Amino acid sequence: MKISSRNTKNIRNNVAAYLFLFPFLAVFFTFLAYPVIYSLILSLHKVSWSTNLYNVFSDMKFVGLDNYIALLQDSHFWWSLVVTAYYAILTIPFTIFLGLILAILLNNKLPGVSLFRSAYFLPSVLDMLVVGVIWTLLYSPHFGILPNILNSVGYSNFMDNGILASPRTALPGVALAMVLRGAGFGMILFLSAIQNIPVSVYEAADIDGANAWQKLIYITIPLVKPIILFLVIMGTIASLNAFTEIYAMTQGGPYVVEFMGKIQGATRLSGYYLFEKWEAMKFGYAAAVSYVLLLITLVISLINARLMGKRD
Amino acid sequence: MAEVILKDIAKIYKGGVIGCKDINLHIKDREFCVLVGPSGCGKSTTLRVIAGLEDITSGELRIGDRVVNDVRPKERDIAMVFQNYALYPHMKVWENLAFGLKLRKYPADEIKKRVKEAARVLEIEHLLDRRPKALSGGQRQRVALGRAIVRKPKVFLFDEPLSNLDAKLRVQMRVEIKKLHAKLQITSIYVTHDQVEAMTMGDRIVVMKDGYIQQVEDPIKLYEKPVSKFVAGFIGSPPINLFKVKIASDGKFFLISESGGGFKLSIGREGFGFLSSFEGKELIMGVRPEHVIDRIYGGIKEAENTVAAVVEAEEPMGSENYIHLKTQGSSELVMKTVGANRVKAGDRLELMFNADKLHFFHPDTDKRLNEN
Repeated sequence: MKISSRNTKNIRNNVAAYLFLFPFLAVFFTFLAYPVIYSLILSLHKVSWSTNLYNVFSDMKFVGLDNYIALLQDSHFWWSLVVTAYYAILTIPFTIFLGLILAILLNNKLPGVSLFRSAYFLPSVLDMLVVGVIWTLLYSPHFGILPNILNSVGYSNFMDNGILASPRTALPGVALAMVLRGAGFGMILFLSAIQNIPVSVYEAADIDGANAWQKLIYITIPLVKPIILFLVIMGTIASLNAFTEIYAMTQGGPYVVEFMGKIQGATRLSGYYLFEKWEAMKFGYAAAVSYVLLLITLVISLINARLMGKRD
Repeated sequence: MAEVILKDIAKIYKGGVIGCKDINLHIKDREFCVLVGPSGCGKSTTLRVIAGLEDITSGELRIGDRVVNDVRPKERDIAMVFQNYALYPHMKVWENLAFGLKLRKYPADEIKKRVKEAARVLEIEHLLDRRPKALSGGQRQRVALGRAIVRKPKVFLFDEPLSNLDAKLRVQMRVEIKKLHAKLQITSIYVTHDQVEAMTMGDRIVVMKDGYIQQVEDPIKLYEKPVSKFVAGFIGSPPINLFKVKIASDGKFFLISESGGGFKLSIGREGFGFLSSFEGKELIMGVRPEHVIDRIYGGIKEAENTVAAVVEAEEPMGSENYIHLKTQGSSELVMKTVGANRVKAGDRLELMFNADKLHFFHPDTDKRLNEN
């Protein structure tokens, strides 16, 4: 009697808990779990433009791992990975470095610090598309500010084509825009981490004989390492997913680079390539691309966490 | 080994806020000097000035034989122990100890030797591979001490190092720091707000208030002859009893009566001649709790000069008993008596004050007036 009454109470509690969870679970399963699983199924099928996507059992044709095998032989895909790696190398270290420098500068008690803090953070609130369009204007031939500045110091190469039309400068150009956009976010994280380090730790270091540089190397950086790890992982994911900035600034071009016997886009990152495949209605193939990217993200994140966490 | 000499040192912050001012101190070689006072009295500022963590606004600071006003902390040859330990959280204990030596480019053998030696002295050898997070408060404080002693500095600076420890550990570490000082014989300057720490540890005590030094004296003299009401009230636990009294004279004796109406005492002129210039005026009289005697418990049959008081509460400590009382003139006072002397709230006692140990303070300047 006693036990059963306790059981009913437990069940009632559980029901109440699930009722409270329901709104979240509904959204989660509809918009996250279902698409994730569905895209895995998609990646194992050949799906044509005429396929009814809402009917899994319609004319989708199961092809096993064919999409994945095709992917391994796709020079455009391999190239997109190469460009993505390059993009990651251009953006992640510089975003972190710049964020850290800004945080250290803003950690000083200087007049107007809060103004600068807001000013540096603001770009990361802006939509990437907006940032991309603004930088496209800054980089554009003839009237863009940057080509004009370079022209005034005697470097006229970008006046006719702009910065984004040259295969060597297109991706660094995108990366610069994104570094400046993203540094503010890292800055805020670094700033809060630095402000959590007790002042007395720095004073102890002063007395121990550390100069400003040694305090940075031996105290600040080790103590903000979790933030660095976080930013590396977030940066890796952002690079593998990078789409908006490419869509806004270069559409994957200029298409002038030769790789594995084919012409490639100098800024066709893997995220953008995925979009192109989807746009071309090769849904199964696009899903396979996204799964390979997911795998790469997981592996890189795990390696990062191992490397950074090893000493703790 | 070094003297520390502060000459007219002042630290004035922006907006004219006084950190400390007119600080004149001559801390002798190997001395253990304690700066004590309530929070905001300038004791930590003074210590930070000595450490070089704060700029000196004016005055001259000497450590050893050189003026160090503009010398950076690392070149002052000092070591400091902080209240929150300030250990490097990401470094293991031995890295914490070795950090200062490494930065000073000591050879690896020497670093190893010194770290081992410090760890042995402080009994933290088994903790060398741990990080500060994995240590208890007392262990962290030992590591902080270790970090100070490995460098063999000329001067140790302690900024309330025991405040974050629990009461029992604090007493234990107090003794250990004293032992360490006896062993190493390094000039030490110790800041605390705890007068018990000050009394038990200091060769000399510097009492500070509102940025100024009130008195510099060895603990016993400080206790027996405080220069002012503030010092008298700050040093001693439970604190000194203070009464507002009126002074009169019948030619042979001084008559001291509680201002609120209550006890009346008559004391002989010897040693209290200074009272004659205050006849008809009000003064502050101070009596330490141990100089208040319960007549009946003391076995004194008859006595003049008794003070009637009602028990309000008692704090039995075992070996002694603090009895809180109220006089007829509504002054509150504490009597310190032996632990066996127990009372109840509401009990009426006849108290006697040890006349030799009465202190008189000027009502306006708070200065002590006694001649000796």
